[in-house]
Amino acid sequence: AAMDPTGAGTSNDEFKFKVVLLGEGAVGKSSLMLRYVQGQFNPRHISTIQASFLSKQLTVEGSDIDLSIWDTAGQEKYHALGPIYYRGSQGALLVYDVTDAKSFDKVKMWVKELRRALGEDVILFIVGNKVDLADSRTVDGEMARGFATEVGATYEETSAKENIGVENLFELMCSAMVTRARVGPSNRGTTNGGTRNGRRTIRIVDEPTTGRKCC
Amino acid sequence: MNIGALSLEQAAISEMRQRIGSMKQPQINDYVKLMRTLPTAEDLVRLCVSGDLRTSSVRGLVWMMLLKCLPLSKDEWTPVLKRSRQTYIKLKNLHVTDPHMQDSLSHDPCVINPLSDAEHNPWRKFFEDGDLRELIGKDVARTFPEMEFFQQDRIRQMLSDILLVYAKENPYISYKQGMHEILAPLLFVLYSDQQTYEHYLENKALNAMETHEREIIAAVHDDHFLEHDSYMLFSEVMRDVCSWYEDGCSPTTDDPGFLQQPFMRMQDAPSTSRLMDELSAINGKLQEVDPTLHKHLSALDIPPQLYGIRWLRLLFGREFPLHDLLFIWDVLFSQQRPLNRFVHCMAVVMLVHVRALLLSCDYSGCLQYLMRYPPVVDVSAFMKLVLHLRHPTKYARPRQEGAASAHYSHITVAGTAHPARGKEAPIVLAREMREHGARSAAPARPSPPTSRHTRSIFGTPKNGERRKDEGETGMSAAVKRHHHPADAERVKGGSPQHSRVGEAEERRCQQLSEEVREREERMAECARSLKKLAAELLQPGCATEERRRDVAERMSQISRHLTLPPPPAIDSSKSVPPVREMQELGPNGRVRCAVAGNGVARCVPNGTARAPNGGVVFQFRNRRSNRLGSSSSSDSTSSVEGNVPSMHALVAPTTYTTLRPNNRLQKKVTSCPVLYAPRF
Repeated sequence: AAMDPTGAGTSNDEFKFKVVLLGEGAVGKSSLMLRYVQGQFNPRHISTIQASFLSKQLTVEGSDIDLSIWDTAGQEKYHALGPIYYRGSQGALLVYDVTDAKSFDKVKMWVKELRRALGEDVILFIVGNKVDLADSRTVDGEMARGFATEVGATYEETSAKENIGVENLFELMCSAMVTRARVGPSNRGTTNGGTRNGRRTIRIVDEPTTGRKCC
Repeated sequence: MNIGALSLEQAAISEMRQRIGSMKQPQINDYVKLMRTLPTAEDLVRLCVSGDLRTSSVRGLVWMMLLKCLPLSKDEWTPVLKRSRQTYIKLKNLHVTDPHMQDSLSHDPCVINPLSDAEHNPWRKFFEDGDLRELIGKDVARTFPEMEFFQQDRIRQMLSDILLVYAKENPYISYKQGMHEILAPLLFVLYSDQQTYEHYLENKALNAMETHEREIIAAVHDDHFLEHDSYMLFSEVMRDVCSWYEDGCSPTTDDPGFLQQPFMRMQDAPSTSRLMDELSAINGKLQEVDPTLHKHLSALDIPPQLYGIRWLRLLFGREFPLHDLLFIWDVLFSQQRPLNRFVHCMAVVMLVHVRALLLSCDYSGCLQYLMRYPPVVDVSAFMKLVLHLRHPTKYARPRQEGAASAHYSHITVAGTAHPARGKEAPIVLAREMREHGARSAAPARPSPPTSRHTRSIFGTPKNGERRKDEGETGMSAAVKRHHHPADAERVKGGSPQHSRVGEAEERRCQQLSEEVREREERMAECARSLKKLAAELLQPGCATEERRRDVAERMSQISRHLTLPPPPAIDSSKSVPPVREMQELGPNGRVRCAVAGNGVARCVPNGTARAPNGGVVFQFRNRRSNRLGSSSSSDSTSSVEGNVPSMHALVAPTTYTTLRPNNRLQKKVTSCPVLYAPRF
């Protein structure tokens, strides 16, 4: 950053966050992202190959947030490639289909994997999607909530089709990330707070940050 | 209207009529051409590259020949097809048995029932394949959702069965998401060919052909075997593509190596699969072809691994609309296998095509363009460039490349608004400007102040032809280097004197291209900074005096950065330049620089430019790598030395590094004005 000719400094009220959507195929990950970022829903969606990416700028609690959302392919185990997308994320949305019990098992698997790879620093949300299909529901909401609490995740239910809870979901995620980023400045050097261009930067600061950073 | 104009118009009309007349039966001509002449492999390649297959009815047939599903000689087509169709029937019977359909009375109900454990119970296999079927079904139901053709149950069933048979036949790969979109266009092409054939048959348009020819054509286009022939074609295409679907040995989180190196970037990780090898190769190729773009993307940490997997696995199926994709596949299948070298070139041209967009964007903007590739306006020019890159001596570089690029960047291939819309306003880089300058018909546009510099770079070469070549070039100068060995060869054929001239020219050319590259990088950097500044200016609350001063200061910094003189050309063959003593004060009057004859600069700080411990830190920009280098001294009296030829600007003091009493490093970054830019 030293040769940035603008010499722009960083301010405390700007955050770059990376959120990754994970889960079984056809549970509606892409639809959630498209609903949130573009306000659209397409019942005939193509399957995501590898991943897709959208970004959105928003303001949460007075902080400007540049939110990068990575939407991953569901089917493939992508174990060789999975880390590419979740590495360096501050938040992960683990999505399942409330009408598909198998997709919830996949969520459990992802919780394990993310905790192992990213530790406690990543904010996990477990999302039951397609709640508009109440009649064919097979996964009990309370059971899912219980599981989420157990693993330290937040539980939300959404319908990308009917636009239920989508905005709320991402807003909750953002404010959780903001809180985490503000509360845990001591972690900043070693964890994934404050990323730039998706790459972790280590800031060496002498005294604990109070209000304004020294650099 | 005078008579002359009238006759001209009539001539135009009659010419049009002729053309329409000849267009009436192009498909039949296609059949006849294929049947009556024995096409060589080169003929097929020419046919594919020309784009004529776009309107022909023999695309499927040509693909089958290219992919060696069918021999070139037409007499063998019928028996070969018969064999391959038989094979598929056998495979399907073996793998896709639906016990529901079996005649329950003819079998032993103790063995063949859904609850029996018997080894050869078809129900058992049926249940085992259930997951695989479901997996395939999920994707088949989402194949080309905008095309009615793929919504038919009959077609979906065919897709599912073919994929299932392939998965069972190739258990190592099985079925992976994406294969369905390799298969779907193939099936669509064969289906379209069959439909065209039926149409001509109904109109008795094939009567002109001889009986045995008609029989062969009929056998090829037998619509009972759409599924069979599609499978055959699909397995041939997959022969190349399948390795990109392999998992490789996965460095999962179980792998201790993964945890040991949490900061390792994936592009630095040891290769785990063929796919990753290909992606690294693409990165390498990009560096060779367009170092500026490569550097920009590397700096943002966007390697091909992040966006390229889908490009490769679907053979660019999501990046181009179907009608263009089929043409791309025409060219692709006509290439010698393995196809990976061509695919690398394709990916690189895709990147270069949107370079102006990418260079003007930050991390998320770049990713949005790469993950949603904007539509290519002129696909045939695009493919010509790919072919040129692959076989520089065989295919000429297309004209006007780049002029049309970046059009349509506001929409996606699907026709919806592009998410990066509003971020565009690509920087017009030296390269594009050269193009505009080279074409006389180019609309007059206000010439940015930088063009003067750009032109001046090209003012020096003596060889007028080379100069013209530079002017027309659309891609990085490095591409031109592909020609140079050939050029040099050619020159070497002449006298030794010529050879020396050739070498000197080549050196000069390389120098120039490097200078252009550096300039471009600097311009792109400045453009990004200006854009950032503009965005900040639009934010509310920037009207304060302080902010205005800040903005003005930064703008003048950018301006200084833009107008740095071109770095000196270094000719290693020349001896050390005579001693020159230069003393120059930076804008703040802080630094004195002396350039000695051996090319070592001595920068003596004065007064205020001092680190808290009394030492001095200078940074300078390395001319070769364009990286910031730094030198520091520990006391106020020392000077800082740097090798002048490697230095084109001295900036700073920007960074103070001090060791605190608690032994922790403190870094302080301030703005970095350009203090000294050597002139030679």
